[in-house]
Amino acid sequence: MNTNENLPQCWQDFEQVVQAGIDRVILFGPPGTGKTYAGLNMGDIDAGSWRLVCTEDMTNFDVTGGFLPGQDGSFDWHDGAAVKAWRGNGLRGGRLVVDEIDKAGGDVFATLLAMTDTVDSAKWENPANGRIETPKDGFSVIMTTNIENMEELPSALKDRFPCAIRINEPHPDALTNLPGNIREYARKMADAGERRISLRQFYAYGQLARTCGDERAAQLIFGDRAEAFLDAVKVDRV
Amino acid sequence: MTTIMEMKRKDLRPLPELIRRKDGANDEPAEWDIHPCAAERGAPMTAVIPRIMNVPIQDFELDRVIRAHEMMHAKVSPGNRQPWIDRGIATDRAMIVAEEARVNFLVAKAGFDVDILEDGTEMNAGERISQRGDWAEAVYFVAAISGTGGLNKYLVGIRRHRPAWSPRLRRISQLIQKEFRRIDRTRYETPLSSTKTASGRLDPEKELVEGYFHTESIAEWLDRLAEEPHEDEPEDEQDEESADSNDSEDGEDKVEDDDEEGGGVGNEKEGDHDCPLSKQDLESQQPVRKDEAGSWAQLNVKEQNLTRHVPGGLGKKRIASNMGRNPRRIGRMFTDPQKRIFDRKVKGNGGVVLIDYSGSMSLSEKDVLDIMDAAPGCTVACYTTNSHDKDGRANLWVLGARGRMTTNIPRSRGGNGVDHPALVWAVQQKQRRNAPLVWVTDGGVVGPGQGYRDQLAMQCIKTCLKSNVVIRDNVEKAVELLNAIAAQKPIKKWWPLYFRTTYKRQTGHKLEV
Repeated sequence: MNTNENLPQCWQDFEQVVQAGIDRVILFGPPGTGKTYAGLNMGDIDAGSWRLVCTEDMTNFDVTGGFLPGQDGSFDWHDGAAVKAWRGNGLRGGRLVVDEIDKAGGDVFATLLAMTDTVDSAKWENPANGRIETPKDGFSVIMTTNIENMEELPSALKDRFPCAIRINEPHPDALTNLPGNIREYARKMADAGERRISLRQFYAYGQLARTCGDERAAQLIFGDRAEAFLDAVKVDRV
Repeated sequence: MTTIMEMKRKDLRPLPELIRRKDGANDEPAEWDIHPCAAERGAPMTAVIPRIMNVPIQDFELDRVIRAHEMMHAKVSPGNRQPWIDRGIATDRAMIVAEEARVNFLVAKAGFDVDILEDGTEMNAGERISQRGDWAEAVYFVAAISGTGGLNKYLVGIRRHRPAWSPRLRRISQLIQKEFRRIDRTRYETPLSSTKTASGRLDPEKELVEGYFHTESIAEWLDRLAEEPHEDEPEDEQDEESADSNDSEDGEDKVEDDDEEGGGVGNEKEGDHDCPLSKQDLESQQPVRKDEAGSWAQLNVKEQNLTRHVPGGLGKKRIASNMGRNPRRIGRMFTDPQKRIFDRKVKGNGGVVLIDYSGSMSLSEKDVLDIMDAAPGCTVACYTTNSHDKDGRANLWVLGARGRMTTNIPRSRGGNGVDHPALVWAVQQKQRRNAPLVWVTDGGVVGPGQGYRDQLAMQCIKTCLKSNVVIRDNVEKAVELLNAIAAQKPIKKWWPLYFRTTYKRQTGHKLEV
């Protein structure tokens, strides 16, 4: 595990924020840098963490829950990720990680706004038993998105998430699984705009290079950009 | 053969984002702006700090080598050349071309074929430069294309008007390559491609990257070679050939065919001009090696409390006037048609006295006060530092200015450290262009914690020559000189032995007295 001083600035910022007890954070930036992983695993997650991946077709079933046919022909209530995170381990609230919130449809978005509201305002009536649920202490939400401009997010959402951190490079722990000679390249290419090479591509390249050699691995993984990649490595290693 | 459709499918934009450096540049992951451009001299370019690269992106081998060349700039070239220009060791033009040579050498080392690096304009360039008789540009241009395929064509162009230049230029190119090979294979030398900063601080805007010291050394050498005039020497083709073959023997300098020399070009009458650089001069001058290169400390100026009033002024004098109070020149009543029987004072030129206060000068406080007394109205300053000084600590003290002086002389800290920056500062203090500048020094100019380096001494010599600095090496001579300046007597130039030796060694000529 890296010490805080060795971490890239964006990860230091994130650690500082969660350690200070900020419980509503947006992580944004290029894909494949470990934003979701960090949301699920970093900070106070003793009470558990739940993930929601937003799409246009998703319903509130994923957020708050819904009825599903039971074995005896009746309908049983199943909690959604947000309610589970509210309850946490029963003593303390858990962590809710909402991926790509900007892709959620209108209904879901409104529900998410309600579920991620401040503890004092957040209330939800369980249709199964009519009980009023509120988030337990310690409930936190990490929202991730690939949107680069935070102004594009709805103002109600921005208001609930006062802290936004741009994650522009992978967490060093995520790089340790790569061969040493390409770790730095993977880090640097994580935020290269439209010419970005994802961490997952580097994992595949590292694995393939062991058996097929660098040139063939580059052709298979980077395709049209294999020559540019290999030339850059040649120059870099001079 | 790659078809147009295949070309379109390929994304040949280079990936400078991958490049690792050790000076802090390109460290944060971020996208570069890649702009396609023509594969012609002058079009491709790389700006490391703003992350911009103009490169040809077609699927030709030449384009690929140009891309590698620009990528190498992104890898090794300084983010900002201004600190190097400010050092004043070499000219901007020389550093640009020397950097081209270093980058091409490294591109070849990385496995790219730099022989194909030519754009077809080299012959025209050679012809144009030789027609104009621009020896300096001929030297700089040959450095820029040293090691590439364009060299031979350039020399063909040169021979059209100045055939005598061609062997010298080819030799310069060979010596550049030889120097790079030497640096590359010497383990204790700083690597050619190093981007570690000399200070260890990560600041690509301000810090000096180590690898570029090699470029600077080559550039300073090119400046020397480009200088005119040099003594002409009769051409001796036999010597030329034997020198070339000697180099071939050690396997380092493959002498390329000079058969074009007689191959139908260079037959014009113009071609009989001698080369401005004699063979002897060329072979006797060497680039300064990295371990022979030095650097100055940062100059930190402090003005002492100038409490004592110093009456008078250097060069101040009375001249006859036709108005006044006391008719001191009554005799003019009858001899001067304008009857200028009074006096009026005119200001002197002022002047600057710079005192090397290092240990080797062995100056006492009294010596410094004596010099100050002899220089009324002048700006007087002394400088000294040592290798232990931290950033920001004063190393140049203003002891006298604007008719006032201090009685509080600082203690010497043993070393020099800032001779050239202090000299440049002193030049800037001159009240008038023709105000005298006296430098009291023994010529033992050294950087902090370093030995005497010809490179640094040459920098001081050049500034002295350019700004007409008069040097004296001890108090008596300095006071004598200041008195002579005050009396407006003719003054004699003098150079310390250090400077005379360095100048002779570096240029092959004597310093004029």
